Parts: sequence; C-alpha cells; structure tokens
Amino acid sequence: MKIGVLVPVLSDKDAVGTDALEMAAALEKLGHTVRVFAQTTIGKVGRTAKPASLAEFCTSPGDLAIYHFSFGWPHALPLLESLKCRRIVRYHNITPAHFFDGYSTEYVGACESGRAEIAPLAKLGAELYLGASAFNNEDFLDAGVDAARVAVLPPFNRIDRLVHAEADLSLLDRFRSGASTWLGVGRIAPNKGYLDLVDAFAIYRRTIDADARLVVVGRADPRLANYTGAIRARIEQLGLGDAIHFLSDVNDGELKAAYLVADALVCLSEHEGFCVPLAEAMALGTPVVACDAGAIADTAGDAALVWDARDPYLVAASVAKLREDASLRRVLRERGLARVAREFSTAALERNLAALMERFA
Amino acid sequence: MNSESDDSLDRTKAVIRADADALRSRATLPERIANAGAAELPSASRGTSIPELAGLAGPAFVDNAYRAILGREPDAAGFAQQMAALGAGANKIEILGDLRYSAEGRQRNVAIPGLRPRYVLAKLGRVPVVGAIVQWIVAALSLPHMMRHQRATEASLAVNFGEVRSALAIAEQRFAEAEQRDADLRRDLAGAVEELSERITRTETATHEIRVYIESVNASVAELRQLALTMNHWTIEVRKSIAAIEAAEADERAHRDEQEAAAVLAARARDGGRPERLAAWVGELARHLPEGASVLDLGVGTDWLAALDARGFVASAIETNAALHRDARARKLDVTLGDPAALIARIEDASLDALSIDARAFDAPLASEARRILKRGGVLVVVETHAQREGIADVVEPAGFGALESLDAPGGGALFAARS
Repeated sequence: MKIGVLVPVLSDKDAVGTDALEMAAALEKLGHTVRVFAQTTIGKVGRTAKPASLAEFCTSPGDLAIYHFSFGWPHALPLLESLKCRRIVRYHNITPAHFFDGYSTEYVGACESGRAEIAPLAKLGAELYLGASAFNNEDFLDAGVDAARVAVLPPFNRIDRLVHAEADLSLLDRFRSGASTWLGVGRIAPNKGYLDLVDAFAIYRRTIDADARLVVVGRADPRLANYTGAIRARIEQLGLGDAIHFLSDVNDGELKAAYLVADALVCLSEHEGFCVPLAEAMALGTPVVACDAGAIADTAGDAALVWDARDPYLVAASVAKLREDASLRRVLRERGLARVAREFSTAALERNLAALMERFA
Repeated sequence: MNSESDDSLDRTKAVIRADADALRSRATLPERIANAGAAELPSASRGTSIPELAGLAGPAFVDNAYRAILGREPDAAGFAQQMAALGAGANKIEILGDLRYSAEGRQRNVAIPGLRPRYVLAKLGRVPVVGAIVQWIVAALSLPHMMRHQRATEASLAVNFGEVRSALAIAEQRFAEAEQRDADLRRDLAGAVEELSERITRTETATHEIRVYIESVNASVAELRQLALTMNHWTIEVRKSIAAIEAAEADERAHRDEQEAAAVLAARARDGGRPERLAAWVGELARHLPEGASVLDLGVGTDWLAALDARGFVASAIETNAALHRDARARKLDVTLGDPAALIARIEDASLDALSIDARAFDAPLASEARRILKRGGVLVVVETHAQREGIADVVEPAGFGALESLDAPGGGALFAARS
C-alpha cells in the first residue's frame, strides 16, 4: 500500500515530528511504500516532498494519507478533500486559546484557528481519527465523529534512544548532591503550569529542604516573553533565583542525566494531549508527581502519584514522601517500567500500529 | 498490578494528604505579581562546551565543530584536512583550537570555556623534548579532573545500577509469579489427572457392570433358546399326539361309518316295502315336477337317489357317512361327502326344484334354508316315520311352505310340501 504522511512543519526535535517520522519508519517495516510530505522542515528529517504533490502519490482508493494535525493549517482541508485515497487524521491536540490570554495574542489566534479546524475535519469523513490519547479523541467525538472511526495510538517517541543514550557526566556532576532535586520538562508555555510548579517548589524549600533545587528542561519562546517574565518575577519574589535552573536545547545525554539526578518529575501541566515526559520519566525509573489534566492520568496510569486537586502543598508533600519512602519509589519505578514496555515502547507501538493497519488491509 | 499494592498506594496517598495539611500551616506564599512584564528566564542558555563538541567522533565531530565554531558546513578541503589530522592521531582539542583560533574563528568569536589553555598545551606537546615534558606535566595536572570524571562515572554507574536492580527486582517478581503460575498449573494438572483417573475408574466399573449384565443377558438368551427348543420338542410331541388322536378318531369314525353303513344297508335290504315306497314317492314327485328337475337329497339313501335318476331327475346328495359315500360313488351317483349345513350354505337362492330330507335330520333352521334354496313351487320331501309327523308339521308350514300332503305306506311315509 502507498502511504503519504502529511506534516505541515516537520522537525526532528518536537513530539509531532518524532511521531510522524517514527510512524513512517514503522509503516515501511510493515511493507508499505511511505513518503513524507512537509511544507517546512527543521533539522535532520530525511527526504520529504511538498504537500501539493500528495495527490500525485496517493492516486488509488486503496492508498492511504495520514495527516498529523497539531495546529491550524488552512491548506489541509482542501488538500484532504481532493484526495481519492483513504485518510487518517492523526490528532496530537491543540491547546485551548484561553491559556495564552494575556501572554500572546499571536498564540491565542493560532490556537483558535487550529481548534476551529476540528469541526470541518470531523465532517471530512476520514476513515480513522487516530488520537494520541483518549482525551484527544474527545474533541472529534464531540464534533460528531462516529466512535467506530476513532482509535488511540500513543505517539511514537525517542524513549528507546533516551534509555540507551549515555548520560551527560558534567550535568550529573553539577546536580548530584544530597539536596532534593525536582525536575520539570516541557517547553515554557502557560498551559504547562510552571507558575504552579514554582509555587509548589517554594513550599517544599520553605518546609522540607532549604537546599532543594528545581531543574527545568524546556525551551523558552520569545513570543511568550510575558509568560517567562511572570515566571521570573515569581521566582525573584519567592527568592528562588539560585535554586531554579533552566536548561534548553539539551541533547539526549543531558536529558537523561536530568531524569537520573531528579528525585521526581513534577508535572503540573494544565493541558496535555499525551505528555511524553511522563513516559520518559517512567522509562528511566524517575518517579512522577502530577496533577490530573488532559491526558495526564491516562498516560501515567497507576505508575505515578497523580492528584485530582491542583494543590501545591500536596505536590510538595508528595516529593517529600518519595524522598523518604524507598518502597514507594520502587513500586512506582516497577510500574512505570512495565507500563512503558507494555504501552509506549517502540515494539509496543509498532505492534499496535500493525493491528490498526489491519483495518486498511 | 495487584489490588494489594493499589491499597498500599491509596494508604500512602492518605498519608501524603495529611502531610500536605501539616505543611499548609507552616508555609504560606505571597500573591503572584500581576502583569510582571516581559523578561527572559535566568540561565536559559549554556553556550558551547568542549565536552559537547568533543563528544562526537569522526566525520560527525568535524561536521559539528564547523557548525558550532564557524557557523557553517565544512568545505570539502577543510573537511578532508581535519579528517586526515584525526587519522594521524591529532587531539580533538587541537582541531577545535585550529578552528576556533583561525582567522574565521576569531571573527565569529564563539565562547568555548577552557579551550585556550588546553589548545596551547596540546600545541606545546608537539614540540620535541619539551613536548614530552609538557605532556607529563599535563597528565599530572589532569589527575584531579580525571578523578572527578571517575566520580561522575561512578555516579552514573550507580544510577544505572539502580535501574538494573529495579529491572532485576521486576524480573524476580515475574519469576516468582511464573513459579506461582507453574505451581497453580501443576496443581490444576494434578487435580485434572486425579479427576480423570476417577472418571476412568468409574468408566471401568460401569464397563464391568455392563459386561456382567451382557453376560447375564446372554445366559438368559441361552436359557430361553433352550426353553424354546424344549417347547419345540414338546410342540412336536403334542402335534404327534394330536395327529395320533385324530387318526384314532378317524379310524373310529370310519369304523363307525362302516358299521352304521352296514346297518343302514342291511336295514334297507330287510325292508321289503322300501322299493315300492320309493317308487310311489318318485311318482308323486314326478306329478309335481317335470323331467330333468333338480333334486337334492339329504340322508334318504342311495336307493332313493338311484330311483330319482332312473325317473329322469337330476339328483344329487350330501352324505355324512364315508362308507355310504363310497358306496354311492361306486354306483356312479352324484354324492358329496361333508357337513350338510356347511354345504347347503354355499347353494344359491331359489336354485333347486326339490329337496328330500330324512326326518331325523330335519329341524327349523334346515326348513328355513330349504325355503331359501328351493324355487317358488319347489317341493320339500320329508321322509319320516308316523311318530315324527306332528313335529314336522309344526316346523314346515311356519317356514313358508304350503300345506303338507302325506303319502303313507307301511314302514314309513313321506310328507310333501310346496314352497309358497
């Protein structure tokens, strides 16, 4: 079968690009002829073709086009409508615009236009709407898509590479000490809940460990300078300037080192379509503390301390408990490793993708 | 995940909630500052470092070094030159330094902390004699760094060891679960084997009982067969006995018939008036019937039958005595041996002109049958003794005959009646 993978902006660094490229590789392993179509490419993404040529590639009704939908792209709908082949909408979720209110009008506009495309894509009548989580699928189910045309496949990821990467020694050296180490992973954006994370960390510093540090791995976006400004102001207000370390553009070795030195990955994100850092932490045996939002509870399963309430005291007490209770750490670590092997490893994802592709045999 | 560990996690979360409530009274945070304005995050970038650049090998190292230090891809000549230097055993620090402190590198001025002194030392190491001394000094000075590197490696190994230990714990748990499953399976298998043995035993017992039953049935069948054979013998014997009895009875009847026939014939021979009476009765009959009329006789006698034949009647008779029957057949007379009632029943209605009957055999049923088989105007002749006459009259007339006419003579008479 010929399969065209359509990604408007393809990057080898972000979660959507990783999912698209790894899924394309998995489909090729299944014996399909796969070609990736991208309007813009960033980094080493291999050979791609322009989206305008997708219709020339997918010519037969038996062919398949997979559209990775993660932001508004007005060319997608007419292009998908013009195809004679079967279509899959791979949905990575789009952050609701209200998270960016007061921080970026550009982001608000982008998110609104993206979410406005959910309804017409639902009416497109694609053969399959493939969400990265059950939470994602709710958007299309709410838009009227038949439940029989909806399925879940967690995103392909770089977890296997991360597990086998050599941890960066200098970073291990820098943060390895007796003090508590909190870790936050994810781009610096309002929906990621970094202000709540700083608050919870401040409570921990004031009540549990005055030497504790917070390492945040994530790229800041100049368009969200108001948000980074708010974070910086809060850090200074709480006197945490020396305790919080921001790292951006890390490689696999540095990211692995950050997970390994951390007592816990603390995820207070308020909207996630899947949340890859949870899976990465589980794969590396780092305990996870999180507040439920979006797909977080689905992704974490029973392998994390997940709270319904967004309570910074509860988060601080959770990290403290993890520091003192070795058996709790062991239970969560074992559950996390088992969950990754069962649900998120490349082998598991390839197996589940093969099962899904039987629909199109 | 078993429910026990889930219960344990629930208990842990309850403890954490209580701990959080305790923290609430120990620390409060000030309100967040509204509209803090735009700002960059502190320490958002770490720049380029020697470990980052030197972590790669071969072509990837050269390619990355060019991009990081000169901000461009390596040109073909430069790439070949640096690869040749690496192949000749050049230190990566030298190559990085060559790029960084080239005219192009100085112009870009990328910060690489710690490169300059290491680059100078690497270059000094190339000077004869002095270079060797310098390398010794560098090695000695590098010892603390190497020790730190070793500690970091140990830390990494410790973390990895934790991972391995976790994996081992999981493997042990899975092995224990597998052993438990194996034990469960063995127990189930043993139970199944036991149950199967029990069923086989029950089946064998049932089979044995069925076999015993079949044997008893076979014995019963043999006994029945024996009984049937015995009964067969018995039946044959009974049949033989009956046949013997019947033969004896036949002999006796033949004998009786012989005696009776002899007596009858002797009596007729002694009765001197009989021929005259018979001639008178035939004459009387001829007065009523034409020549060739059909006459059936029941017991009057062969001489009467012969007289009828002689007069031109078509005469026949039914005889019950075998000896008399043989005598009649010897005289060429039409006589049938048999039961008169049964043979008369087969004669069709209104088919005879006359019927002669010995009065000793006459009764009401026979009178009724006589009326049926005689034609209208046919004649019933009853040969009798005078003593029997009144009884005969009581039967004949009610049966549908006309008035009796008698033709008397010494030794016996005959009554004639026409069918009405």
